[in-house]
Amino acid sequence: MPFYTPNAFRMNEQELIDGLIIQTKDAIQYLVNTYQKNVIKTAYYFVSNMEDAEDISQEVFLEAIHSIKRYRKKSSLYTWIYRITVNRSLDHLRKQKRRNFLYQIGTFMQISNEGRNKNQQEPSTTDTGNEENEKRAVIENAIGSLPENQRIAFILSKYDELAYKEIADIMNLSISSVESLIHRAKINLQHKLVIYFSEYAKAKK
Amino acid sequence: MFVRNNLFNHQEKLLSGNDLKEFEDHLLMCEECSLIVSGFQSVASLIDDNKSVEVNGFFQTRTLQRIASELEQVRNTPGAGLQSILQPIMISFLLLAAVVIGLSIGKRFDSKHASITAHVKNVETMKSDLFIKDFMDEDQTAFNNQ
Repeated sequence: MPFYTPNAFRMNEQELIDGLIIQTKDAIQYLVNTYQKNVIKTAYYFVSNMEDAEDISQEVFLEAIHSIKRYRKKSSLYTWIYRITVNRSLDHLRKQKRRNFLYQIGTFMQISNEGRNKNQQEPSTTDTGNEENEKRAVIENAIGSLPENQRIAFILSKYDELAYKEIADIMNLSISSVESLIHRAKINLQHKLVIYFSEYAKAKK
Repeated sequence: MFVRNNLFNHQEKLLSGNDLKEFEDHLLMCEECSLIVSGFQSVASLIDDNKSVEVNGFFQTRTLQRIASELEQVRNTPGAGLQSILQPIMISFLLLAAVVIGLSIGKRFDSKHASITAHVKNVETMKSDLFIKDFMDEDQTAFNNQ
């Protein structure tokens, strides 16, 4: 069933939904074509890895097609797809965290058993590259360590540049809650990064 | 502290008037804070870099191929639609069967337990009857001996 026939038509939201329910080629192609950029970028903002972001995006489109019958039209299709993307990205991060944890346990046990090779197995953090890369890693870690709701609100606001109303719809919260989450995210980030940049400034002196 | 608490506000150009003056005056005097502010610019550049990330041109083709093959697979799987209906029914049936089996085992255990209790009660009654009889016999023997 080839999908990749070029077509240059436009569908309104209802036509797209109806097409997805009966899984027409045109509707599926239109869905991917229309939303791919936003979906990939949002997933990328969460996971910071393009390959993972593309895998997540494929899952998002598959989920959207399979569960379109459950779409209740309380929010726009755009918001609904954003919500799936955020949830899938967070699931991916949780799985990754679990995998890393198990990997660390495995490594720890291996080191305990062998009592050697520690330096060979752990990647060196001191010679990872230039200062800029280190700064980026620190900032990404600081964003990644924010509480989940603050992180979602911050990413959707600063990276996706969504309005508070859109973020509120995606997160099923009130606009004032979103404002508060973003405010707290900024304070937390500021606090975490000031510690790092203050050390950095002292080292530079 | 004013500078360190207003890094985002400064970056987003939300400071004005006296606040902005206080912020900038402090930077002129404090080398550490000005290094912190310049370091903090990395946050903005990281966000800008991430925004400019390019989407792979082949993504759409690969995604459409994957969707096509998954939908094909679902269509070719015999009873795939039926499975989604039958699965919850089967699970409910198994749960119900487990409850019924549990109840019948419990009932059987209960009746067995009741019969054992009745048997013990009978034995106790018999024992007490015997004891009374023994006592009476013993009493009568003692009376006869006297």
